[in-house]
Amino acid sequence: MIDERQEEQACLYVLGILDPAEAADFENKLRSDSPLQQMVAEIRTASAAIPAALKPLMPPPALKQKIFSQLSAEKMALGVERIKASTNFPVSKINSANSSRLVWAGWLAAACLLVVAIFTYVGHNSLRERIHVAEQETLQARQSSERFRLALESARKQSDSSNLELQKLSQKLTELLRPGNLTGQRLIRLSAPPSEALPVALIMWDQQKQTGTILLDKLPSVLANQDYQLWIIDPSQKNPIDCGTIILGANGVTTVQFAPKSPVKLIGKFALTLEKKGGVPAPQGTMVLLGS
Amino acid sequence: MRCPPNSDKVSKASFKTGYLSLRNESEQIRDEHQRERALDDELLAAISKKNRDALSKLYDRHSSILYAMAVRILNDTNEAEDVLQETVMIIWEKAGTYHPNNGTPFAWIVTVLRNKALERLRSSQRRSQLAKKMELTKAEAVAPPPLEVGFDEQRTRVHSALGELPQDQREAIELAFFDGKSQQEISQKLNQPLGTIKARIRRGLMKLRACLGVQK
Repeated sequence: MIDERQEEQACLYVLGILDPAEAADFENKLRSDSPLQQMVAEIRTASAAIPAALKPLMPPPALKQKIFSQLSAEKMALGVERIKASTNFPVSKINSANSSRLVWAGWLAAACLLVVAIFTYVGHNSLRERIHVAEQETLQARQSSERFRLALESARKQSDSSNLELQKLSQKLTELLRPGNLTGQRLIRLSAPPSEALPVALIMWDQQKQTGTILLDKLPSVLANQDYQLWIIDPSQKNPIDCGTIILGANGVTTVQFAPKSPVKLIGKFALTLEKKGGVPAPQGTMVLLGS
Repeated sequence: MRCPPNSDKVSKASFKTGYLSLRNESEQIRDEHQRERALDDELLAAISKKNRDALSKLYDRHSSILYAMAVRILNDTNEAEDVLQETVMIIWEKAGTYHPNNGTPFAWIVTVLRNKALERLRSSQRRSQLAKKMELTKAEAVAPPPLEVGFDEQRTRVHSALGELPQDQREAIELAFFDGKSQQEISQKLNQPLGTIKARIRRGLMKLRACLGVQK
């Protein structure tokens, strides 16, 4: 479970402004804590989106040419270095007294070359065959790459049109959720701890009528002797207020209307717990979701 | 469970429809992120095998944002060009060291560029302090590119996510991100206690993380 302090350290760490001593401690912790690693990666991805809000600025076209010619120059320099290294024979160290030995060494080298040439000739045919197979494979790879490119292109086109649709939906939702449209009503989202982010619960609460609707999605099904039970935590009251048990639908999203068993003066939080079948007067089981 | 009278302004059905479209939207945003990431992943893998075409494609995809970011940090187009060039050379040489556990490829590239640009900014600040002492004149700076409403989907979404951040949170994040200010410098500049600055940065970045759907 990542607490607020760790979240804060993760944010400052990603921005590179965590104090050096704290940063060293944090890095130690980070090495062995995979949820924390996950969070740092997500914050890094989110912060990398900040420059995407800047107005794009095209760099001068000459810059790209300059970069690629620098790459070519480095490649050529590397090639020259390799040639120099391979031809760097220490001629100056050869002594004239050893010249007869060199003659024999020359004959030996020639004999070796002859053997190598024979082996090369024998292997030539099989090598040519392998080159042919490699060429065929390259051709196939090129074709499948082209197919992949076309598929990607069409997926991108589909995504563009669905994005437009999404924008419209998003605007409609924003409209719906404006305070004026929900007089006396509140929309509360309950979320699971970060490591178990899948279950979703949304509550629409009407303080005036003292009623609400809860929507649940991706909640695990319970055992035969268990039920989910909803509670309102009212800071002005000693105990959480029972809002009854909730039975999940057979599949997909479940929506249930509820009313608390005693009046609610102030909404602190909503909580969903796992209790024994039929519910309990005060929460005893595991907390599944909590939100305000 | 007792059932309340059935006279709610927002009906159970419309509540469910609204939720489902919201869920659909967040799933599509996640899919889009994954597609973008997969493309960058492929390009980085090819670059690590010294594929120049892949580097050229990656450059075309991101150079305008990276260049704008470098200009925003350095306030100088010549310096920004140098930083972009250094960044591309690092990508070419070190693409093989990128690890997906550290964020998306784009996040890795942004981190490389930001580090290079801030390094240069700090060294030029040192130079300028020295020049001030020697009463030298300061070079004319180029106005930084403004944060504007974008034309493409990604920019619009990021802009709206940033726009949803309260001004104080956004200001603290931008001072750290673009100006490379330390916690103490931000605290002095905004005249707020250090704890408040840390909390603002945390709340802002966590909200941005939630709004942009980067959570797994």
